[in-house]
Amino acid sequence: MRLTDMKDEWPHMPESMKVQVRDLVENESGKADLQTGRGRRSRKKMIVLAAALAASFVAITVGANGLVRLKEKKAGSYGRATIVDTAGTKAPSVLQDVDISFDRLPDGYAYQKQGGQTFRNEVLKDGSDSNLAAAYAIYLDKDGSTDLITANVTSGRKLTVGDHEAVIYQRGASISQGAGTEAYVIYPEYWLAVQVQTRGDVSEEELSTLLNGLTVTPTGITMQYGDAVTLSQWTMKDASLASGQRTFRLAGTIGDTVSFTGSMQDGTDVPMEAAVTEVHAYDSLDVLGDSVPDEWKNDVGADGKLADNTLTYYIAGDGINTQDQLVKTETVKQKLVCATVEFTNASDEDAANVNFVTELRRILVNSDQTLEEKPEALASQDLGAYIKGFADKYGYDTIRSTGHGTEYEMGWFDVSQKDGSTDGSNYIPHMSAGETVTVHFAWIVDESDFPNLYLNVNSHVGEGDNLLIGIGSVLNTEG
Amino acid sequence: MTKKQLGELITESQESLYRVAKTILIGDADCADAVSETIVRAFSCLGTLKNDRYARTWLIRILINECRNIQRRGARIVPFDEVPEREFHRKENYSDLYKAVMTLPEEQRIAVALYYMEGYTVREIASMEGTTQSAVKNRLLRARRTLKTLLGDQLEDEE
Repeated sequence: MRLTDMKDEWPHMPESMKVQVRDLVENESGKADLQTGRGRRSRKKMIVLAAALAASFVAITVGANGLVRLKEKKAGSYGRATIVDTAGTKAPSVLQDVDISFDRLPDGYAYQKQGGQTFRNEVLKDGSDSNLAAAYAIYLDKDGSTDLITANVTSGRKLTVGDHEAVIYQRGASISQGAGTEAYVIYPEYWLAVQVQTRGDVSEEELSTLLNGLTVTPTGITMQYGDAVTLSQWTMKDASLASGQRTFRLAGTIGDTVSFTGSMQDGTDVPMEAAVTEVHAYDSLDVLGDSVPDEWKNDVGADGKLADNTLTYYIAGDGINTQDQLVKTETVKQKLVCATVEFTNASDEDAANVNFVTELRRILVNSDQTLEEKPEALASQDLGAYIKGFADKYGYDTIRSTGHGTEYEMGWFDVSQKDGSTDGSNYIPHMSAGETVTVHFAWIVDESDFPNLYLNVNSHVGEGDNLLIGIGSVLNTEG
Repeated sequence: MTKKQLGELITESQESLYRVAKTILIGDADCADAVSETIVRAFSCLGTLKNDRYARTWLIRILINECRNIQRRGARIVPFDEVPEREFHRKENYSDLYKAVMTLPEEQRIAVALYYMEGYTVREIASMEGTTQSAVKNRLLRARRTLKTLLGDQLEDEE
């Protein structure tokens, strides 16, 4: 026998299965007549027939007079609400997973697809490593509908994209988001709204090309509502503050050894110790040699030293009822703060890919010894707008800076796992039992924060204290 | 393509659908489920078929996805080498070639079935499986070597 004769060697379809196929084809073909629209009586019959089948997906009639409609209305003084009206339409029992693609690209655009199964994000890059446009799949909820709010709308219009209703808004710039466009296209057949966002420098013609090439293709995979991103989830307010609560504890100063539980990349706990052995401040980035992060180079002035940081204080508007309010501007000096930390594997077993997260915190120690982050630090992290009463107490809730002097995350460090075996670079590749590994860190810091500077050697949220090592009092200027 | 035309295509292709399903799933009950789900989905998604020329390929692609959905659900799937021998001989008299192909890894089985049984090109198979032509060629090569080892002189060399 030959492989090309395989068909003769393969099992044949049982007769009973052929009968099943015939009946199913007859049923499905017969649906076409009922769907050509003969009024409410025909529609009701189609839905009943679909429910009677073992099918897991119910087709929704769509068209200019379809059952699912797109509406929009004013939201507050500055926003617009997009409403997907599904009244009188039965939601499908399961959802259809889809691929979203931009099948036509304007000249000079490149295409990059990201995203997982239920939340597809098609991103276009213009070669300058910045995103020009993105599309997001937002499934409609099974019950009820939630308005999609677009903030800072300067103009808008309804249109059709192919056969699908759509709405497009022009957005003005705010401190939380740049200017651009936001469009919603509904696909009732997939119980889906697609949001398309473009950056402010995308032209009308380019936007038209992108929208006209927007394609939604089912993958053949079905999903439960709980597995998909739906309208109600999409419009949920950001819970970042609630999820980012930390507890801090003063643990020592330079030279003190602190103990904590670290972890390996696979999640295994590792008893660890850390000691901050040295801290220095410099006027320039020269001490980093050739390893200066690209984004830090903009902080260097014409004289080769770190330029001043300009801080602009705002009360953030929501773009619906209020707009951003500029409160004040101030200029502060920036320094490069370098710290040496010795991490020790305090267990009696070797450890691989040991994670480290060492953040620079600006902390106020109150008279009752309670600790809190400086309000300027919270406002720089965009957390002030989420804290009730923050703006009333301090007169601002958001800070924007021209430099990196307000940042707290690790911007530069000299020990990392680079072979791609971890999900980031902040891992010590290997620590034998009892071994000490030295890691050097560097941050650009506003000099005005020096008195309140602490190194948080085991930064994490949730359970356990974040240990703070005071470094502000010993900073010297060098270089 | 109209629904009537789709119905005709499905009827013409039903053996093909069964053969491919039988390559991925083993039990006839699962194959029946996969074929049924494929038919329903094809009718409901007919609007996504952009070119009638590729209708058959489109149909097979839906079938492969449905087979994988059934595998994920874990219902009634019995790994080939775990099928009790008594039941195996009682229900079907499978050919040596079928038994040999069913010992291959799934991706090789699918490539072999689509290439040799259904006559798809390497390029079409790569598109259906969402992989590269090189990967498909690799799968076919490894499959042929394994089948040659298992079947020996029973399997003639290809011209």
